[in-house]
Amino acid sequence: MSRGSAGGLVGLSAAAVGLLISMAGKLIVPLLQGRRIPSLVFALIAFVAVALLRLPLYGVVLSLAPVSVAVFWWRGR
Amino acid sequence: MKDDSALSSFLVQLVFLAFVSIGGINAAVPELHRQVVDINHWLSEQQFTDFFAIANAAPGPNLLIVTLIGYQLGGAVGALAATAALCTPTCLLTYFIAHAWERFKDAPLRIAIQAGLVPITVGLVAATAYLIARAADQSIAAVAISAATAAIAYFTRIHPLWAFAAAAALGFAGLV
Repeated sequence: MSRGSAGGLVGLSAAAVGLLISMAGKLIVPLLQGRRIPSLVFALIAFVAVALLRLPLYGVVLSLAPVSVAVFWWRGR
Repeated sequence: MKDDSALSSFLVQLVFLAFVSIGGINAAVPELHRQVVDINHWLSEQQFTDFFAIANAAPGPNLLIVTLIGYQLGGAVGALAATAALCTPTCLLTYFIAHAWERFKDAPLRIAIQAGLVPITVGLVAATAYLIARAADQSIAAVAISAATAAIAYFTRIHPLWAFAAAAALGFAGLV
């Protein structure tokens, strides 16, 4: 790969990161209006488990999702 | 690299991946990265980041990253098979869930499921941003591009493709 196209890909990667950040931002803002604490806690646990601890997605989602849904179910009643 | 056993085990992973990627392909990227780069070493960190960038910049769905990995592992057949392996379960799942979802629109359980899954999606998308940023944002210029793109996509109605074009041009000129 030429140096120019490799450089172009570096630029594209950086832009793609920006797009992801805005996507996470757009998703998180509505959460800040409703049930703030459980929302942020579950978002943080998912982030730490997957990004920092590098745990498999299957374990994280299959254990976290039922707990999260149960919490919102219980609070919503 | 042409490797049939790598391709077939990648395909099996994709079939199951659809069921836990709450929030779509961008929520599944950390798991793809774990399997493809960390565990199996099918792609280098650089290749994975490049594929992610191409999939995001190219028009069309971001699941293109899976198509590109499939191509890397098994050529054109790998590309098609990987795309199908990811899409088929998703399409079936969406088809059946969409019906139930509409029907139980106001049911408390449905509302709880949605409220419970969105925060996890946020965490997973943020995890993807973190992983890709670690590889992509190696210079101050790259960090600036990420920040500018995030601001443009969040605050304005300008299509992100313009940010991608500008970022690619800056990179091509050797400025990133």
